[in-house]
Amino acid sequence: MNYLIYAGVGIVLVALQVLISRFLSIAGASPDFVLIFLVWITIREGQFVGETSGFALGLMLDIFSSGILGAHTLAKTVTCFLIGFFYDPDKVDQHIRNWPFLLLTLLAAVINNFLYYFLYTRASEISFVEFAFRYGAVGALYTVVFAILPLLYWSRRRAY
Amino acid sequence: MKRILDLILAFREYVALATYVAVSLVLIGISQSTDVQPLRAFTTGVVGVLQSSLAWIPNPITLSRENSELRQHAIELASEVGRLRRAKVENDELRRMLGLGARPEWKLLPVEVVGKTTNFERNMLTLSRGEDDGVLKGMAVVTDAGLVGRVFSVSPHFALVEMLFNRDFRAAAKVGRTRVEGIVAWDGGPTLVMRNVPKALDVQVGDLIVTSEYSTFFPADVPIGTVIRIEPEPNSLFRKVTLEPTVNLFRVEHAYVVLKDIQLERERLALEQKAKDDAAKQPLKK
Repeated sequence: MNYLIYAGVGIVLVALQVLISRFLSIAGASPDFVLIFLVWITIREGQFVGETSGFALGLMLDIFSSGILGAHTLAKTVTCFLIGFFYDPDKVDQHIRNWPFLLLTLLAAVINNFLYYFLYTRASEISFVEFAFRYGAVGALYTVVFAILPLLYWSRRRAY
Repeated sequence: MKRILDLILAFREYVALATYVAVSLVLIGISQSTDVQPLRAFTTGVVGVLQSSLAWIPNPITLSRENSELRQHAIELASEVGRLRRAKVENDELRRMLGLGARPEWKLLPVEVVGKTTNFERNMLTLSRGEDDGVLKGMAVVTDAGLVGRVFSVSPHFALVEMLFNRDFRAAAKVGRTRVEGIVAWDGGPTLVMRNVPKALDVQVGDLIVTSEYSTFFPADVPIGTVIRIEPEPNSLFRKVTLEPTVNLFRVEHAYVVLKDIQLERERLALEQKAKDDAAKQPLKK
């Protein structure tokens, strides 16, 4: 049942990412709602579920965003795999309701953006280092700002 | 068999990672292939329908600035129209005298921008017209100010446009004043870059860069940008020319698709192909 809910939320977030990013774009960077959700899933369910979700939602994002097919898929899969090393079944609650969630989101956003921009800038006139620092860093910080919202929500809910 | 299965289960995270990475790499490999065009057309249709339902939402931050800019632009255009009318009469007269005949007129299809994604990762426009209106993949999209981009994918009722600020954008271009040729591409920032411009040739800050006759996708003489910086490329005979686009790509609300005459286009391509084939058949002279 949990997985069905995850799939539903994931689809809604992909739609939001594709449709409303123009309203939230600052200095060319947008928050990555899908990534925040993937970090949450990975912290809660572990590496395998995280990377599988990263693959599925990344693929959906690639298909509906008309970008380079496979770029989001690869970046999000690898990011969730790496974030999965911080999964600790005994500290799930502690990680989701406190500052480690923000820290892991920042780490995930940095990894994801750098991987994505590496694939994005190859075989083009764009300098990877300049592009990744200019937009990847801003985008990562912007994503962390939005990650505060679910953190506040979960920290006020009763422990499950 | 059971041992292999146990092994896979024991390392399932790594097995899954390897599989997903392999699939992703295959997808990246076929990303530009024509095989994925039906999928692109389908998603263009779906996203187009959803974006057109959100198109009424204004962006209040940009509206007021856009209004004053448009008023200023209208005044400038009114004076330019007068000058251009006089120049056109003169140009037609001179062409007639030289026996060059009239230039072909473009067929323009007015379109509304129903969706816009303007972050630096993906700069795309969704237009309100599609295949049913004669829009085809590869057609140029322009405004009164100049080139916006080219059609990337079409569904029956919508078209997705790759703007100039896009990693895959390339256009054969020339300096309007001196006809010096080069290739324009996006450099990843809020500007464009023109490459392959020899150091010896005449390009100056303030020059207007327009599309060249050699461009496969774009009609000739469409403004692309104005030169704002010229730098020598180290260890090269060429210069790097930085341009500011003539169109404010973040505020495009209406545009035109330059419709190609399919019959003429086929004729041109067939002729070019024949010339290539003939050249390939000819033996090399010693």
